[in-house]
Amino acid sequence: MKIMHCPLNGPRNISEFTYGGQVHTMPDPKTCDDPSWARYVFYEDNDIGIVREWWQHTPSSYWFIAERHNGSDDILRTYDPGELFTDRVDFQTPGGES
Amino acid sequence: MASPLQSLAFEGGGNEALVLRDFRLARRAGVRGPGASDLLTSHGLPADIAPNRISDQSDRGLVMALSQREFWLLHPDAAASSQQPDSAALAAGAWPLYCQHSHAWLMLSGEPKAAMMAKLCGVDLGDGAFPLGQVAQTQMAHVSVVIAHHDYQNEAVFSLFVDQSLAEYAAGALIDAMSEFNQSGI
Amino acid sequence: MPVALLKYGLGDDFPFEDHADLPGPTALRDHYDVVIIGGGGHGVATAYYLAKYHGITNVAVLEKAYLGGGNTARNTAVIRSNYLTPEGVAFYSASVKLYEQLSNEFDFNIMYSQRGQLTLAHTDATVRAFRQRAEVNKHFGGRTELIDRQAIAELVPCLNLDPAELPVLAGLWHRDGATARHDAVAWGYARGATQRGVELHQLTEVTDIASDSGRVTGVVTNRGTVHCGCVVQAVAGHSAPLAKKAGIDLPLVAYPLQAMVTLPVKPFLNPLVSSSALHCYVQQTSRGEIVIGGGSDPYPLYQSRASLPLKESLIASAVDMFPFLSEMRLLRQWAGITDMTTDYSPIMGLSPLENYYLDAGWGTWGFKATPICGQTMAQLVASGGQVPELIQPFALDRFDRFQQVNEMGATAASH
Repeated sequence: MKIMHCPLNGPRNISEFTYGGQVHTMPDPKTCDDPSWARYVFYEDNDIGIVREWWQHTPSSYWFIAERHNGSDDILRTYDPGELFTDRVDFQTPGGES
Repeated sequence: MASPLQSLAFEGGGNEALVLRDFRLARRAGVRGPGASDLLTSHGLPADIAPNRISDQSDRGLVMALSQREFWLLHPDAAASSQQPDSAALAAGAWPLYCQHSHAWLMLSGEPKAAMMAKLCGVDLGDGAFPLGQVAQTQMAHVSVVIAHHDYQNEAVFSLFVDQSLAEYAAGALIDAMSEFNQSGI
Repeated sequence: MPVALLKYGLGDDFPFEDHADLPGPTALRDHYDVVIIGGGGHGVATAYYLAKYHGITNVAVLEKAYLGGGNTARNTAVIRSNYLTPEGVAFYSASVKLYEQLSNEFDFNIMYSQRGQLTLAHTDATVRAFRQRAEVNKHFGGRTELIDRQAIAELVPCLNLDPAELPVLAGLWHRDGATARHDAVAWGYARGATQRGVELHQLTEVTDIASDSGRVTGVVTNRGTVHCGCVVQAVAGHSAPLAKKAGIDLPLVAYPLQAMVTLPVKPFLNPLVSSSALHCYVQQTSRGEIVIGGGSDPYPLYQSRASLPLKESLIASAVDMFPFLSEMRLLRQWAGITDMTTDYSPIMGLSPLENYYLDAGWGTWGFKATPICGQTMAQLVASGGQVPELIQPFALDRFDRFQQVNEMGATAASH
């Protein structure tokens, strides 16, 4: 079976992982217009090449980031999302406290 | 059809090469969050356990680290506690995990346990790759499992934690795999 | 070889069919009124309806490989219209009606075989969804009904009604469900189109798309540049990368979809049978092979390789449904690349470029829509951009308006 290297758990069968979509910058849901929110929700880059994606190691519920070639299926690098995201994101809804 | 869980041994195992025991009624609790390690320290427990390691604290039980922010406390000889961890009593940034409710605890012992597990699990659990004190979060017979390699009553064992709702399925798969090793005359 | 047979084969008596083959390759011209990118079923069907019903014959179909060699050849040839939404059911019902007449239309046998399609429900929630689908279908003139276990056992005596601790509760019996020879559909359309003057250029890959002030002006191919009045793109799995060449982003994700067939056996399975919970569908072809198909790969990939884990899970489900399949041998396995939308409905109609028309987002449901796509896309082109009512719900801008056409429940793994 294809092997993926989990940054926390080491090399594992690809069946232990769940794909979580491309890594995108989220627009501010309070201020962005509908088309930009639609773009964030529905659109991926769709270039054939190396893509940066969210993956989860299912048994440990650990989310990380993988750089993978979506044409050859080669996984080039996996790393903890702490490399990219350092701050906690809180969602504020109109009329709600958090 | 009888539940495979009903056939599990509770005492150590006769002439059988492999024994699977039911620890669902033993005490276990977990804590998770950025404040988890501080909470452990405040209770005099070591918090510097690397992820995927398990540390034996003798009469204080076993401390299992599933990540840098998640720890489980396991007491194989204590009865399951009716008192569940209270989130208000926990330090800020640490949340209780109701492991007794969420995960069934099975224990596998016997010399060929790693060879047997190779039938169900893709991770090498042999002593070389998976020494005493090591933990693997992986899949066994297509379902998620946490496997901890530790000593219990002077014997190296695998503790297996599977989702409660899958306990019966997992026990059935294990007993089926064990049958090859437990046939008399081999 | 007997000499008599050799003489017969080489002699004048041998019954060659006129126009059995497509016209040979010709030089690519400098200009066409319509350029259709993609020589699969949808592309040649569009060319066919343009030529036959709208008199537009200055048309080039550009195919990077060979006629019908992509997803037209890789799908499992299920034709049905038992979808969930009124928009979807109306559209696919129109396609089924065209399919029923297609052999006559072509004067060429596409081996259309209306054997009915049976979808199995294993949960109460699915039974309720089936009830809704049956009512929507009846409203649009389809023949679909909910049937019980006894009726299922009579229809498919060899089916295991209690597979894998998921007992069958009821079935959605779709009498209009059918299958056809998928290659023949592409050949029939291609023959009809080329006989009327359409040029089919195989081994002609579009490498770039030229546009000027909101209009497409031509396409660049490996055989030179072609100017054109308008472009239709119908390239299935590679829809998003192609549209990018025209500067258009499409909300698609490409997943491989795998299928397999066994060695042929005597006919025993008449309807097409699919299970909603086991993510598996099983049917017997007219050649006797058992076709087994299922869910998509678990993550996106632009590569049609076959993988062992999918093979294992598909076979496990197929054996749960039909236990004797464990005794059979697999003949071959393959994959196609499916361009999935989030609502499991296609993207058809206008694009941000004025004269660039989209026929994309065909995911795992494209073959059954081939005739109606050809017909509606031809209407769209011939009218210079008037979108036919039938495909208006599938416009690209529905995503910006958050007005999706949700066919997920009626599509996923129950083709």
